[in-house]
Amino acid sequence: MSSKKIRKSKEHPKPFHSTIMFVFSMLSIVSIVLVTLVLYRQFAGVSRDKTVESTKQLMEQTVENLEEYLTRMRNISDTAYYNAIKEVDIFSQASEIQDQLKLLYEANKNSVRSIAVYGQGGSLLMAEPLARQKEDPDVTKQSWYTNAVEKVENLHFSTPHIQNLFDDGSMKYYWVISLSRVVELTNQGKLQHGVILVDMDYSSISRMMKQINTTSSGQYYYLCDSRGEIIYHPRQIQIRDGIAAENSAEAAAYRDGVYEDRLDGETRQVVVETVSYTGWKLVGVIPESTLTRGLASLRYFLLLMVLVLIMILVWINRVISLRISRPIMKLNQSVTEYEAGQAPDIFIGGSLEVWHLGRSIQKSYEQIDHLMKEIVTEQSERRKSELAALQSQINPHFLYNTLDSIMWMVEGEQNEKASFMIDQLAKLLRLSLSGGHTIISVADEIRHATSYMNIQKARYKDAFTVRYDIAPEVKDCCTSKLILQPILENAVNYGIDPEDDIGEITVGGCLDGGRVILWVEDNGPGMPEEEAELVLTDTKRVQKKGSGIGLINIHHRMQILFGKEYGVRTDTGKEEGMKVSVIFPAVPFTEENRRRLES
Amino acid sequence: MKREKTIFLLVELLLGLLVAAAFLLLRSVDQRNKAEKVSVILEDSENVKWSGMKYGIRMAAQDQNAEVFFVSIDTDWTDDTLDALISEEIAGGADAVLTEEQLILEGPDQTAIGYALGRAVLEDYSGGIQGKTLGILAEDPDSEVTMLRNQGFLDAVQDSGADILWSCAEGEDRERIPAEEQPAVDLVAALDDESTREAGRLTAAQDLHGAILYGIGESMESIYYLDSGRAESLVIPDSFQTGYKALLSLSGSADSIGTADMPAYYVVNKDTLFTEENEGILLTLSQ
Repeated sequence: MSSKKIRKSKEHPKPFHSTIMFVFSMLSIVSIVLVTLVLYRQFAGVSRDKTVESTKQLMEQTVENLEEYLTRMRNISDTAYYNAIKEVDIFSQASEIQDQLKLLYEANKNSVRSIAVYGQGGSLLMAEPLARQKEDPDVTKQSWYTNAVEKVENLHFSTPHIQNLFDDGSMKYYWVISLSRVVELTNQGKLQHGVILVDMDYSSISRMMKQINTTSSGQYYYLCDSRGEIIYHPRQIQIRDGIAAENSAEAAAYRDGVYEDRLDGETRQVVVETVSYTGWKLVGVIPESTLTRGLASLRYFLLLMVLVLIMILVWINRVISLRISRPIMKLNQSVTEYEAGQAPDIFIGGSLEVWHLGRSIQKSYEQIDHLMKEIVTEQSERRKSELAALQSQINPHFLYNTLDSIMWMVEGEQNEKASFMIDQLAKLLRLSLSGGHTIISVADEIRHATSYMNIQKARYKDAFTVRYDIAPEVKDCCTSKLILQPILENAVNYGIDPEDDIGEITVGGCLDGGRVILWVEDNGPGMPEEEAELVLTDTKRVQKKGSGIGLINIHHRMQILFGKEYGVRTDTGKEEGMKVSVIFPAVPFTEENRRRLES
Repeated sequence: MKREKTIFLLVELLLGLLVAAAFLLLRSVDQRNKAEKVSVILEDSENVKWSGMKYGIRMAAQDQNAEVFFVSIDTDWTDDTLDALISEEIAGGADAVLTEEQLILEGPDQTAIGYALGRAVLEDYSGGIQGKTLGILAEDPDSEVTMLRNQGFLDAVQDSGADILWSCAEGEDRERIPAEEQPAVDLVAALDDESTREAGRLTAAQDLHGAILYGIGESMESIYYLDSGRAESLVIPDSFQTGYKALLSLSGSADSIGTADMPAYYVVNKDTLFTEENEGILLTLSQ
């Protein structure tokens, strides 16, 4: 045998359904996770864009409202100047101007705190609503006045401040945004510069801003002027107190658009819109935490859903894999039981392939069983035959009779004959043993037959002759021992009649088409055909003479050894005499062939 | 097969635990997003003196994603009535309750405020109030705030040589004599907003006998009296900061806010009332 490297598998093979379940589960998990990640990223991006977009839209609307409001204030200022004051003598027509201002104020008192006209030097000329001016506010030092006189061509909007001009006795102080402008006044025919002040109620703007600062998501909006001074901020006081901070100065420098900035370590999206006329900036701030707040909830929800889905899928995959693999597992189980020595029915079922496998295995096992039984039967028959043959070797009658003959020879001082008889008996017995082998050469079998016939001739006082016609080429072939002796025994017992002339027995052997044919022919009375048929088939047939083993033993032994097509043939077609042939394949007698045939 | 089933069960168990963890995380996020409810119990909560403080509490609630409810308690409350009210609020769904006591705890140094008032008087007279007579007004002489402010004021004026003719801030079991019935003095120091407002009204009717008023004020009315000349100086505590920090203290984050550099009170007179710096405090009082 050539040496081969035996490669051991490092891992035990996994059950079929485990592999199916694992593969299905991994595919499911990977697919679910990938899809969820992609959808989440997509949603997060869209959500972020939508938040910014909606912020921009809200701010655009708010800017429109602010501009509308500021335009109205401008119109009030314009109306006060152009309709009431311009080219009207403020001295002589004071009451008419006052009436006009009153009408204007009444029409807008929801938004306007007061309308006032100041002359040169900051002296109050008229105001609506009528109220006592405070004694000591030096208006020329107040920013709304100084801004107006510094740039006479512009309208000026101040930042929110407390109106520090009038005392209406209500003990209330009003936050206002002052719209101031320098105007030309006609006073007793002389032109002089004055300032129209329209104090807008800050609560209008703060109300507008509070309306858009209702969300608790962290997003907020604030208003600042072009220098970054805060006009409205939901955390105005916190900023003043240092509790909070704001990048209003930076935001005021931005042009309209969306920017990213950082404040206190947090990234924010900042949307800037400019309010016309004033240069104010409406700034919308979307902290990163706002953008991700809703997403945190969504993330955990998706994680929860993915995990639940995976749990369900793993379970389903297991059920499916078990269902798919159940037929093959049943088949495997039944094979395992069979291997353990039980005799279960092999599972036949499931899909076509498994069903086919089951049937094939079932048939194979049935064939194995049948062959095993045949082998057992064959071995049993062989043992029986060999045993029978062995029994014939030590036939006590033959031995007794031969020894008796030898004794008579010795007593009759036929020493040479006695010596010859002993010699032939020894050879007979030696060849019978054949070293315990059942397969011998044809030459040894012929020698055995010769020894036997020599003894029989001596016993029967040469009542018959024996002729040997053995082809040389058959002598070196394998044969089972003790195949000629029983035939010769029959020929002696049934083929020779002592009353008749000398009988003739011929032992022949030849090769014919790869087969060895050994035969024994006698010229005795022969055997009826019907009886001859029973010789090889009737196992219960009892021989009247001889060892009682019979041709059937030889026939069975040869068939067991060489096959059904070989064995004993009887030729009874002749009127007298009988020829019995033993046919077997010509197998050269070698140690190897002998061992092979004996195994 | 048995081994495979064991592995399957272990995997399912692990996934089950992960599901439970994810569910708890989701709930915690929802809980975080859910606004907490805070009840604030104040004596006469609608009184204008609370304006700045309530605004600070509201702003802090907004920043902390909390809902705040102001609950009024009678002026003659006892510890039992306070405890009963706290229990009632908690039973009604409040996650936390803030009381005046906690507000005082988070508030500015009351002794320093009283002292600042005394200093304001001395600075107006360049320290020379020797021989002047002083009267001290206080609404509730038994309150800790009054006692501390009184102590601070007295510390400031103790060596000035001024004569404290009467004081509503001291003495136990005494009936409070109305200010207009008190003997005439040169200077009146009002230790709380009610007293300042009361004194301000009296000056209009000349019922303070020409005394010059210095007070601690926390309302727009007090501001008005300063603006209109009826009071000479006001010490205005930054009650917005007090209210803001008090609410934050409920969540333990009061220390994290940076107000160390901000004054806890402002000393304001008529000239400086409407400066940009002081307008901010007026904004809180006007809310």
